[in-house]
Amino acid sequence: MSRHLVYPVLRSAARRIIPRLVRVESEGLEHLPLRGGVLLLPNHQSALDPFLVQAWAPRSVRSMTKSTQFGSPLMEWLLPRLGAFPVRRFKIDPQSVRTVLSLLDEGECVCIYPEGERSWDARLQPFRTGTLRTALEAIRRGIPVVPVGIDGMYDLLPRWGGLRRSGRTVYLRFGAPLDLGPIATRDQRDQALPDLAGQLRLSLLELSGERERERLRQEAPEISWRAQPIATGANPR
Amino acid sequence: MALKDFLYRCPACGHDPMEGRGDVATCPSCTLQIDRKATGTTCLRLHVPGTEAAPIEVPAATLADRITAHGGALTRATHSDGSLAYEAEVRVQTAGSEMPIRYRRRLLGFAERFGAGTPGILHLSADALELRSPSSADASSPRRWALEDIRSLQTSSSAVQITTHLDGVVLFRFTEDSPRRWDELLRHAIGERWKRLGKGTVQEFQPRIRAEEALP
Repeated sequence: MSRHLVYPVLRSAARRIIPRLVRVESEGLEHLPLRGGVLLLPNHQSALDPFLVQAWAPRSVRSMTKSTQFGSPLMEWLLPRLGAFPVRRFKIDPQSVRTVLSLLDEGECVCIYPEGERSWDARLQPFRTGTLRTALEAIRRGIPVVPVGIDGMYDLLPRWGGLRRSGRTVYLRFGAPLDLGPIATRDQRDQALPDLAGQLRLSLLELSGERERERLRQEAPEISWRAQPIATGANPR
Repeated sequence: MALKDFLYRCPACGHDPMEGRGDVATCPSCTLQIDRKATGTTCLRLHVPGTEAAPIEVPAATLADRITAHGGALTRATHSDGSLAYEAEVRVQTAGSEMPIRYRRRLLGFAERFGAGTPGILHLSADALELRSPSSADASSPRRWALEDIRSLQTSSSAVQITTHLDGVVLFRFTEDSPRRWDELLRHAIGERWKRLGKGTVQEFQPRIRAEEALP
């Protein structure tokens, strides 16, 4: 599908504006094919993640976006021109799956955040089963599924806070495509689901820097919390 | 949202709720102050004003774990007789009809439009979620959703979203309280309700609430 002019204009703007806030380094670009369908599965730390992925990926990216974002006439006009398409997260949404698979079949690069929402504390959350099933179908069709680690955006714009320069480098790391072996039959597909979840989790823990953060957290000296009685304010019945 | 929406109770002493605005959260009990560190890797800075102790940097994940260790959202919502009861001020919006989203004549998907927000008091008990009028003069009966009738639950930015058979998608924006707290409370309450009704252990809350037995 050809792009609207809005996409390259805003992509170029993002590539100029984000580096004023934070240094960005992308790694593993060799894992992202420049042609043909490819499915990206990044972790989700910040509302700016889609801008980062779309601005630093070396090709146009179509992003699955929660349907509530399309709630105003402006966003309804703008988001499709930025490559976004809606998903209703509160129910099984077969149309969003159809859109993903048809875009992939047409050779587009599609991005889905498998956690389904931003993390509160920068840690990786459980994956949505529907996303895993869609990824599995993509693999069955021979489409590369690439895990993408986002590391550092939480410091710039966490879910609970405003935008603030963090002074650290943000990394966007593309991992090797997930490899699950043959998944031709329905039984093989069902068996492959936990394998896919496990492989994706391991990849994202590594690529997002969480494994290293967790190691440092475990090795850190014990914090001496002030000994105080646990008090709770009363909530009216 | 603010830091106190994430750290809704004190990671040090367990006091609930935290106070503060923006990037600063303060415990009114032990006076611990938490703010965003200027530089670092997902850390927050802790210090106690008026003491000589130097501020320390603690990963956000460690603070979240401490809140869980103190009992999370449940302590404040569980009363002395063991019953669950909790309430907060909200603005509630209900989704209207879904509209198709097209681009260059291609159907991309569907999105819902929400109606105007109305104020209310959201009350959670072990059996139901109720929306009451904030005005004592309003004698209309509250909207009530039995917990077993809630089909899906999730947070959406600063709101908590539920889906019900009768009302479709209902969105609650909390005026003062933390959506993270409410997400945890509702997950717990719905999970317990399903267990009591013999419907199994809830495994996922979106895109629909499903119990272990129902999973393939």
